[in-house]
Amino acid sequence: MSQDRTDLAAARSRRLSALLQATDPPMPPLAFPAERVALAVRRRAAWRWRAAAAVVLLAVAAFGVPPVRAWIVQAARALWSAARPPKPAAVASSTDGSGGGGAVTFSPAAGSFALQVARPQPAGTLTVETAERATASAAVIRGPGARGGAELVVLPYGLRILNDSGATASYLVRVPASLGRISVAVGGGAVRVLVPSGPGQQWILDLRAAP
Amino acid sequence: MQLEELFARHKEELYRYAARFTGDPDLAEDVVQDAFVRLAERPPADDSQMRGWLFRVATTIALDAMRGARRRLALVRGRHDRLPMGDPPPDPAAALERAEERRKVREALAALGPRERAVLLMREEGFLHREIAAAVGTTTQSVGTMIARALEKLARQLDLDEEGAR
Repeated sequence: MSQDRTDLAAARSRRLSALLQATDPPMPPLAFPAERVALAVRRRAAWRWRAAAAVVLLAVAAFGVPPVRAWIVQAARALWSAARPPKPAAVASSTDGSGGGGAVTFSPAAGSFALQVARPQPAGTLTVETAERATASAAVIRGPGARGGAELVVLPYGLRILNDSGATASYLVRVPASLGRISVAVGGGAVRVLVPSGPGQQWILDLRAAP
Repeated sequence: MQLEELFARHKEELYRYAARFTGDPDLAEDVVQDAFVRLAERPPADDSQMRGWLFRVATTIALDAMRGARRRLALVRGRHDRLPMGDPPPDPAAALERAEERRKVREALAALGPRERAVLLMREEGFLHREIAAAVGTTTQSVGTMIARALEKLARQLDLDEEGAR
């Protein structure tokens, strides 16, 4: 019974196919709708640009809202970290009463170099020198009677000096003269930009808080 | 693959399908071209199902056009039986018989629901049941049932069960 139905359906199907083929209209010389397609492609591209512009405008507007701004900054940092994994941080430390100073050598990324001192000190200086070499080095210089501790932390984009608020040590940082610019920030103070023009240059920055 | 290559590859089967589906060769031309414009505007995410996507879009365009242009279709019905360019002048009796046969097939297909018609005609184009199911938005099992039902209806109208019927 089931086989009969299948056979019947197959026979009907064959007859229908023959009938359809016999009555099909002739194939016209169909032309590719080039102009309409080109227009559609342009419209699509324009739509993408408009969408991108809307996203940018939205982002700019949202950037004015502090929580959103904080989120965007955080997301950007996360993206940056993912895109460029930080090199293992080299840490050198010098603690109060050790009698010596910490030192670290590392290869800075080409271009900009950021030098961050965590906070101002009651005394001490930061000396930045350029040299004809590819590596950078930093050292904590502790004079007699120096107080407080400090750590030198190498970052993917520079160096951070994690000093105690009562530290009185000085710091010497030697960088390649090929660096484009060095930005120096002490605590939350203004950023000072140093632009090396060759080896042998030296800048001495006072780490005391501005009165 | 470039749009022009896709057009060259699929235009014939799409046209045949659209002409059978709409019963209007002129509208079928528009449907094929509109399907490729739609492809340029909103291409499918999955290129591997391009053929099914084109047939599905052609079906949608054809349905829209048929709904929106019923009056126009009635006015141009006389053009349906156009003859191939360059054919010799037909024998009037044979031409009449042919035209009558086309009219019967067209009316029989038109009597089916759009979904049944799409399922049946896509099967004629060699689509698998699961591809048809994806294109018309139904289950693979339903496709078999719909084809059998559609054939049953057409068999009555077109004498498909008669021995020697074409």
